[in-house]
Amino acid sequence: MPERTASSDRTASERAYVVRRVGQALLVIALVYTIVFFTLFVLPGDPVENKLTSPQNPLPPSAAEALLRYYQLDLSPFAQFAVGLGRLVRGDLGFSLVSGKPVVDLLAQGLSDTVVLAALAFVLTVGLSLAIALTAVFAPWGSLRSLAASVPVLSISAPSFLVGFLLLTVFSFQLGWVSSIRDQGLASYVLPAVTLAIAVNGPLSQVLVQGLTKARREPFVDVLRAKGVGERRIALGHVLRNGAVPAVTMLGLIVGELFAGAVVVETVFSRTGLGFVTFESVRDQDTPVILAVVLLVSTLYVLVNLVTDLLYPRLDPRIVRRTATGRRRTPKAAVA
Amino acid sequence: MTATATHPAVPATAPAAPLVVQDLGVGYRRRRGTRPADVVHGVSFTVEAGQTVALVGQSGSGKSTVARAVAGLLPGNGAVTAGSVHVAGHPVSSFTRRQWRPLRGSALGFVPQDPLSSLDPLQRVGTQLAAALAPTGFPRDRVAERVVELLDHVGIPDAAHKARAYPHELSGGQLQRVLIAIAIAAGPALLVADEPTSALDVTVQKRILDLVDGLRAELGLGVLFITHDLALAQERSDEVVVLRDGVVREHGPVRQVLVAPRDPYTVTLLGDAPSSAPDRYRDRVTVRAAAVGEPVVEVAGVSKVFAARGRGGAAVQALDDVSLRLSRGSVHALVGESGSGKTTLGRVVAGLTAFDAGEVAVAGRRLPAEPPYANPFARRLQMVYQNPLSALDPRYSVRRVLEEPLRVHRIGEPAQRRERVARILDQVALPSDVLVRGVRELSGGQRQRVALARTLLLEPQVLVLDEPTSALDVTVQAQIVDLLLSLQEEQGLSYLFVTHDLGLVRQVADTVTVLQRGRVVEQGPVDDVFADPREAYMRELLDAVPRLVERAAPVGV
Repeated sequence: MPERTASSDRTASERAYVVRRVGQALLVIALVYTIVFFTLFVLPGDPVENKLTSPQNPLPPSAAEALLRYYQLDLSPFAQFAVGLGRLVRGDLGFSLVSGKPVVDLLAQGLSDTVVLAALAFVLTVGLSLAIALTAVFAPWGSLRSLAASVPVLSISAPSFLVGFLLLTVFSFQLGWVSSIRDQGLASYVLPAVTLAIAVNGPLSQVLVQGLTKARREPFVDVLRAKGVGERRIALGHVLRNGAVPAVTMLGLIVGELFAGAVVVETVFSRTGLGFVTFESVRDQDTPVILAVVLLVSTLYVLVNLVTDLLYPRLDPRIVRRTATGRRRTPKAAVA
Repeated sequence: MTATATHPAVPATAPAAPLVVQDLGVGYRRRRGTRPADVVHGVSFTVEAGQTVALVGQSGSGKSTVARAVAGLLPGNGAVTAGSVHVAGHPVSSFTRRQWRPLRGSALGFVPQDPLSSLDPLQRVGTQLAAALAPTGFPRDRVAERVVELLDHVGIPDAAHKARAYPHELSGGQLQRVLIAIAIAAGPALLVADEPTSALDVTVQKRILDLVDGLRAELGLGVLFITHDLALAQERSDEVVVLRDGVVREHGPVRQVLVAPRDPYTVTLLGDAPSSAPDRYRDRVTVRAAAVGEPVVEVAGVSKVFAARGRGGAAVQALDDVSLRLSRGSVHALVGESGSGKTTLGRVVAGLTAFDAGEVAVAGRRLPAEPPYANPFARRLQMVYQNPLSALDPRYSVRRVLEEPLRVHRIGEPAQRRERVARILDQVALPSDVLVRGVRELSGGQRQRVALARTLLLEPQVLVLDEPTSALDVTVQAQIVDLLLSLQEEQGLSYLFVTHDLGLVRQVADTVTVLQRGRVVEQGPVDDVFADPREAYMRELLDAVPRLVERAAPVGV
C-alpha cells in the first residue's frame, strides 16, 4: 500500500491533475464543435444556402442576402471553419437563418428560463432519489421498502410527456392551482420541474439503492453498532456517505438528461426555454442555432463531469490520482 | 421471552460473570413472517472474568451465530429462539437494539473477523476510535489525547500520526489493533473476538493474540474467542466448546477436551489439523523421494518490480534474484508471509505474470518474459487457485466447465470428451451426478475438486497450486491434500505448492523455498530447513505457528 506523500507534494500533484482535467474538458468541447460544424455546414447539398434561398423561408430576401455574405459560403470548408472559429472566440455565434436574430440573443433568452427549470429539477431529483433510496433501504416496514425499491423502475418507464400531461390535467385544469399558459413566476416552474425530476431520477435512485444496500452489509456497520453508535447516525453518517459515492457519477449524466428532457417538457408546458429553441431550430433546420445549442449543452455537461471528478477525492480518500499514467481508480462509468 | 423471567436481573453489587449462556437457541427466518429455523440448539457455557473460552467448529457449525447472538449483532432475520444470554448480569437475549445501546462498548467489546473492511473507509482512524468513547461520557477536551493513548496501548507506533490516517493507509495487523482499541475503549467486561486473525499472517496473528492475552490479564476481561483452528484454541484458551451443526459436542477445560478428547468428532477434527500430525504422509514422501527425476521447472535469477501506484506510492520489488528448481515427481513448497512474493512467483512460473530479469524454463522450454495473451504451455503446466468459486464461471454447469479445456484445445470428439470427463470425475472422487449441477450448488471441497479435475484434463506435468486448501475447513482440507498426493503418485505430477501453512509444508513437501520481501531466505529439503532454520525470519515463522501438544489416546473410542 503506497504511503501518502507530504501535503505539499500532494497539492502539487493535485494542481497538475486539475490542469490536465481542464485541458481534457476543453479538448472534448473543441472536438464536439468541430464534428458538429462539419456535419451541419459542409454536408453535400449546401444546407445553409438552400435554407436561405428557399422561397418558404420567412426571412426577407434582403436579410437573406446579407446572411449569405456573412457566412461566406463560397470559401472552402476549412476556411469557413476558421472564420466560424474566429467569430466564436469573439463571442459571435452567428445569426438564425429563420428569424435573422443573433444566435447569442436567442440562446440567452432560452437559457435564462431553462437554467432555473433545470436547477430546480436537479434539486428535486436529488431530494427525490435520496427519499426513495433511504426509504427503500431503511424503512422499518418490509412492504414499504419493497414499494420504494420499485419506484425507480416505474419512473424510468414513465415517459415525461405522459407525466407532464397528467400533472397539467390535475393541477392546472382540475384544481386550477397554476395556470397552464400564464407566467406566474417561480410557481410556473414547479410542475415542469417535477415532471423532469420524475423522468430523470430513476437511474440515480437505482444506483443509490444499490449503493446503500451494499454499504449496509459491510462489516464496518457491525463494528459501528458494537461500539454504541445509534442507528440514525450509522445510516446517515456512514452508510449514506459510503453508498452515495457511486451515485455522484450519475449526477453528471443527470444534468445532460435534464437538458434533453427540457425539449419535451417545455413543449408540453408551452414554455419558451432552451428546449423550445432546440425544438424549433431542428424543425426549421436552423443550423447556426443547432450548432450553438449543441456547443452549450456539451460545455455544461463537460463542466459538471469535471466538477464531479474533482469532487471524488474529497469524498473518498482511497481514490489515488494517477498523474503519471492518466489512469485513475475512480468508480466512474462514463465520461462525456 | 419467558426465559428471562426465570433469571431476574442480577443486582449491580453482585459481581456477575462477563458472560453466561444458558440453553441458547438461535434461528434465522427464511422468509418474512415465517418462524425462524433453528441453527443453534441448547448451547450453554460461562466466561469468567480474566478467562478465555474458545468456541471451535468448522464452517456452518454455528460458532459465529452464537458470537453474534451474544454480541447483539444478529442480522435482521435472526433471533434468539430459546434460552438466555447474560452479559455482565444483563439479560440481553430479549433486548432490542435500543436497549442494547447503553451496554455496547461498556459491557461488551466486539473484535471482527476481517480488519480490512471493518472500519469506515471514509473516516480517519482516530475519529472512529473517538466515537467509541462518546457514549461513555468521556470529557470532550480529553478525547483526542485518550485516542492517542489507546492507540499507543494496543501497540501502534507513532500513534499521534496514525490517528489521522485513513484505514487504507494501515496494514491488516494495524487495523486489527485499532479495532481492538475500539473494543476496549469503553472498558467492557467481555470481549467477543470472531476469528480475529483468520485474515492475517501467522506472525501477525501471534502478535495480535499476544495483545489480546495481555489486555485480558491487565483489564480482567472475559474473552469469547471464536476460531476454527484447534491449535490456536489450545494455545490461547482456558476452556473449549466444540460445536457441530449448532450443538455442543464437547465442553470443558482445554487440557481435557483437546488432549484427551471424548467425542469422536473432536478426535476427527484434531486428526485432520496439519499441525497435529507432521509425519502423516511421511511414508509417501519417502517413497517419492526415490523416484525424483530431472528438473521440470527451473527458475534462475528472476526479478520483478511492480511500478509505483500514484505519485505517493513506492515501487515494490516483488521478486529479487530468485532461483529455484522443481524436480520431476516432487513437491516444492513456496512459503512466506503476504507480500513476500510467493504468489507472484507462482504466477510467473504459470506464465501469467511478466518478469523483468532472469530465466524461467518449464519442461525444458524457456518462458517469454512478457507472457502472451493465451498460455502456450497449457498442456504442460496448469494452475489451481485459492478460491475455486472465483476460478470457475458461476453460470456454467460442471459438465461445461470440464469440457471447456478439451474444446479449447480441440481434443477428441464429443463422445470421447464425455468419456474423458467421466474418467476425470472418478479420479477426483466426485459422483457423476454433479455434472448437471451449477458450480454454485457445490460445497467448497467439491468446487476445489472440480477445479482440480479441469486442470488435470489436459494432462499437465506440473501444477502450480496457489493456497489450494486455505479456504477450506480442516477436514475438507485433509481430503483435498489426500487427493492431491494420490494424483501426484499415480500420474507422476510435480507440484509447486504456494502456501502460508507451514504445518502443511512439513506434511507434504520435499523441498521448500522461503521468501521474504521477494528474496529467498532459506531453501532446501523440508526436514533440514525446519529442523535447523538458519535465518531469524524462518525461526519467527516457525515459532508463530500454533502447535497442538501431544495428546493421549482418546478415551472410549
